[in-house]
Amino acid sequence: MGEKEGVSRRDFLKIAGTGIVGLAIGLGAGYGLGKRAAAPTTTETATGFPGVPSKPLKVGFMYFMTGALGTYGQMASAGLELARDEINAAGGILGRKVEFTSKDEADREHVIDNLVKMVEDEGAEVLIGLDSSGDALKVIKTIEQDLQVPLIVTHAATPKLTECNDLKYIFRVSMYEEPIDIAAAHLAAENYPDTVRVASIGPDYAYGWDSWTVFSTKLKELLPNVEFVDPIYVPLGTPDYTSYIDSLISAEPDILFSSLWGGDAANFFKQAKAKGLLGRLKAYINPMLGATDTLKAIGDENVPSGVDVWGSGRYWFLYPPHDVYPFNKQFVDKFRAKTGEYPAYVAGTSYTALYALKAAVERAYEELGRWPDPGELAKALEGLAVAGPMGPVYIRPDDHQGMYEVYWGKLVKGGPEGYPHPILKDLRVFSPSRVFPPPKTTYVKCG
Amino acid sequence: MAGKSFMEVDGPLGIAVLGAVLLTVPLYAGPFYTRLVAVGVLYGLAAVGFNVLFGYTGLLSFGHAMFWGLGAYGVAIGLVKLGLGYAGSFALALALVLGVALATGFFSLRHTKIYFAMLTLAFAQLVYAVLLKWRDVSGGDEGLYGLPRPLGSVERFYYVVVVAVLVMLVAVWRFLETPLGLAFQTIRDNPYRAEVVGYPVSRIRLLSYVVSGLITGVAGMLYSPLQGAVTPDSLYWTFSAAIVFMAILGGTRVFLGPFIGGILYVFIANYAMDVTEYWLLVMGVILAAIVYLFPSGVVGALMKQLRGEG
Repeated sequence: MGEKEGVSRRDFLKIAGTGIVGLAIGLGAGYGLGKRAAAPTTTETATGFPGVPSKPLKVGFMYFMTGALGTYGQMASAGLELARDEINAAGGILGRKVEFTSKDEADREHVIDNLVKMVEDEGAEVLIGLDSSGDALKVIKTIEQDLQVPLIVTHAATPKLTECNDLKYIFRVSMYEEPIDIAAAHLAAENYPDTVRVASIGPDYAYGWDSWTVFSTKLKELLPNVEFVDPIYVPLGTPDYTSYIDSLISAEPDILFSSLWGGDAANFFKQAKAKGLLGRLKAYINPMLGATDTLKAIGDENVPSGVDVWGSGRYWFLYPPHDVYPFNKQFVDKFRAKTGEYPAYVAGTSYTALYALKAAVERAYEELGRWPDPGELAKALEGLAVAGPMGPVYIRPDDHQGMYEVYWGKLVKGGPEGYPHPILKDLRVFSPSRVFPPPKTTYVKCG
Repeated sequence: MAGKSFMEVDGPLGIAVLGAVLLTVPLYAGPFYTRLVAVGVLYGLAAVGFNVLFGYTGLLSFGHAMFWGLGAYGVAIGLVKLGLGYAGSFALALALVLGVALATGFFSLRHTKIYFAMLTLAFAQLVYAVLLKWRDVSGGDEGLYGLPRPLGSVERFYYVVVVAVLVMLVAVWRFLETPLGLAFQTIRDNPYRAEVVGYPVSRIRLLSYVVSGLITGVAGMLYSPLQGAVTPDSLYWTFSAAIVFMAILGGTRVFLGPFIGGILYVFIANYAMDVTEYWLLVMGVILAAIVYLFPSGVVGALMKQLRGEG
């Protein structure tokens, strides 16, 4: 490759000429292909509803399906499948059968690409899902600007999603962090008014930091004399909490607030009990304890006595009580018949999302007399009320956040009550008007 | 003469043909595949950057996601946190990549071979950790989101991406043909002789490292507006490995090999994900097969055919 330095003008012209020829070929090919691709879409009335397309309604969903968080995705998709089967058995949504396409959220670097793929390549008209708050935030631009189809979030719980962004197409039917943490502060202030010291341990990322910010800020408002020990943050997946537990014991807190979740919440709990930390507390408060997988991992044998252990979550399968709200009982029974398990909270919220979609389509149809376009569908989701296993959910139009009651319950052994894992009893229920901040406000910093 | 025409296929001629094909993609590919090609083109440019250091200078970097991620974060911080506008944000990102490249290059290049590779990996993970923890600047694990995109839609921004990448490719190719660029290969093939002949070997290696980082950084700078967001995953070590994969897939001894490798990577990953959730397994098998069957990469093997060496 020795003979030359750079490209001569003649070479350049030759190359440019080749480029132009190539461009022309490409344009010709592209034009032909483009014509073929633009097949007309027809609207038929085979559904029995005028103005409704007969082809099935494709819904794309995305959860963690593999890896350490894979159980969330499996529970959530089981909830969706249950709702789909019920809706299809009853004739679909305005006669359109519901079909799914899905992607694995565990492919973190492909979350955006995969959402785009489901809509633009696989024909999804609506999206449901997302476990990770980071993922929910990072797709805002993609959904709102590029895809412009409704996304119903059923798990990711950061306040920033709904409170810090102006959303047209994104909704959340699941409970988010802030009302649960605010309710936790009320719970602590009411039950332990002489609390002096409060410590905290949480996962070392936005969820852990934000939960502590909300809980501690609210508690300070309610009990101005309370003192906070420096919060401890630990990496996700920490196997051994010994050193943290030692420093928590020496801090001598009255209350320990922990936002650890999943397997971490169970591991920490068991080690804290074994080392005697739990026994020294008045109360242990964990907003993510009301998750069936966590409770199963803790097991009845690790339920301590002499300390109040409080847990919450985004839906608890025993609330609203089955005798006063049969809808919940029916859901739990159907879910158990399908999977053999009690539904985790993500199953309840994903189930609700599909029914919210159905209700919104029907609401829009009432007004328009035809199938709504994505913008009209989004409009119909605003201010919608839909029945879910967690009770009625009202989607606040101001911030697109689903509102329903927050519960906190005390951990007790499940065996005596006929359950395969510990359960939450003695439930304290907080109405949305008490624990939801006004729309577009949050204790967490937006920027 | 044969050498010259081959060089053109793997240089300006190849770039021109690729450019012509790429510029027509939005006309028939539909929005999803247009976007996929845009991602592939940027991965390709990142791999070309990597290959300036690996294929041309003989140094294996296992930390090139750092440059990609710094480019992406630089633009995002400029746009979201500082409100600098596009030009200012790109300038900020360039300065960031340049500064970090000089600093990490200075220390990493005290060694070569596996020790160099380990140092690049270590520095990249260090920068990753800083961005993960420095919440006020980087948004922590949530990253930065809501970035505006020049020209709005993906289909229109696609042309910005393709034109910028083509210009970069021509510039890099021309640079590699200069005496300085040719010195990279001399050092790769025999650093001791290069030293004896009078080349300032360590300074040329640093230059190669910085140029390589800047090219990959520019690709990252275009990636964050395309996505509208940037997260710490973008400079996690697994992406460094993916860049190495792309370069080997295409072929590291041909200029356009890594570029084609980047585009192929995106499409293979796309189809592999359709087949199975364990698509990384598929990628691993493909990588092993490439190394065994086409040690010079897909494009490398093709070029050999063209030259009649097959």
